[in-house]
Amino acid sequence: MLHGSIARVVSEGAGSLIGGQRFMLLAAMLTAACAASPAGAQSIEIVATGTIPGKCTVAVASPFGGANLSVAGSVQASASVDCNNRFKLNALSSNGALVTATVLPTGSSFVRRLDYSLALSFQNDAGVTISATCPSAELTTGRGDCALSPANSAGLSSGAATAINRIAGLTVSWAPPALPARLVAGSYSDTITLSIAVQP
Amino acid sequence: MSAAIHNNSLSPWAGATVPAKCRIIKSEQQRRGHREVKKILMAAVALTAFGATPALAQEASFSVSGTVNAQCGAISNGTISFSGALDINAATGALNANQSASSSSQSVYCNGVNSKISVSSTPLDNKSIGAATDTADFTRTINYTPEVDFAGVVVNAGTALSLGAKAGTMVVSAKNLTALGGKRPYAGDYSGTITVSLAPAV
Repeated sequence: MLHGSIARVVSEGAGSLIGGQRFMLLAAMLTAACAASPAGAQSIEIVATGTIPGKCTVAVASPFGGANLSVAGSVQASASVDCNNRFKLNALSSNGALVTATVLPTGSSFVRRLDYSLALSFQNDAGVTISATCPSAELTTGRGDCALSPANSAGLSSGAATAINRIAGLTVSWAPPALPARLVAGSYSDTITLSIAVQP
Repeated sequence: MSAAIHNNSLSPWAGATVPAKCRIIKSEQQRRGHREVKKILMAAVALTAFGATPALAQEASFSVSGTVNAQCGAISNGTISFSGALDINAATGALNANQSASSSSQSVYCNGVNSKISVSSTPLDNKSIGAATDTADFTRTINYTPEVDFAGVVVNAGTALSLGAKAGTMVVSAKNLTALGGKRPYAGDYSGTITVSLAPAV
């Protein structure tokens, strides 16, 4: 049976808890009332542990604008990133390029795919700028070549820091293919899915 | 020998020796303490339960879109020159048949799959004789057949043809010169125009 009252509660790092870090509550340190006979003292120490779960969200803050693909250029978008733990970002490209549905005749010197590069950059809560640039072809399912590649287990890491309510900038850049290849006229599109996950 | 107290009764006691024992006295304060500890334990269990739940990855999708405008490019004006003089039959003064000439080639493209091409022309006209008109024997007009070869697609004057997305060399020709009415052409410098129209379309 417990005797006495809670003597002390200690929360380690309580002022700057990071999700996933365990904190310890030294819940009670009780000493028997019979202090005159230490040999028979009863004490109880309860260590309670818990975890603040790592929670990360990413959302579209501003979408990409329309692009004139006939000439070299770039378009920007931004994502809101909120993560209370160190984390990683990966990107998945649906097509691996900007693609048009236009059908080309066999043997045509025109092309219907335009490779691009995706640059992603954000500042973590330690003030460090984290960035990576990857070719679109390396953002398809199963690829792990680049930091943002979907199969890159390390992903683009936030380092040791969190990123609370941060904005990540995304830039898609392209250049027309080298002659004799030319882009066939039409509307081109791709979808980039940005994923965020807690890193242990 | 004094009697030792071996129970936890709340009875007052007195004696010389008391064995080292804890006396558990459930005062109200102690009961509150127990409740606090229970609360903390429950909280810890709850926190641990939360911590055992893996954080799910979150996703956001961005659409990237752009347009390649339909256009035809790099076409420029050119010249078709019949080297030297037109070939005239020395005996009759009539224009000999099968005379043709072509422009130099140039690289042209149309990137729209529904692009079209059309060709029109004006006859060769003698610009050296002012307003002189044709007579029974002579004419100031020489007709010809315009022809455009664009990457293997041969087009003559008339209705616009579907070209599709095409890139390659273009050569423009004036073929098969014929004097109007089979008459003799006036002496002088002749010129006409062949117009090639490229209409880009997605």
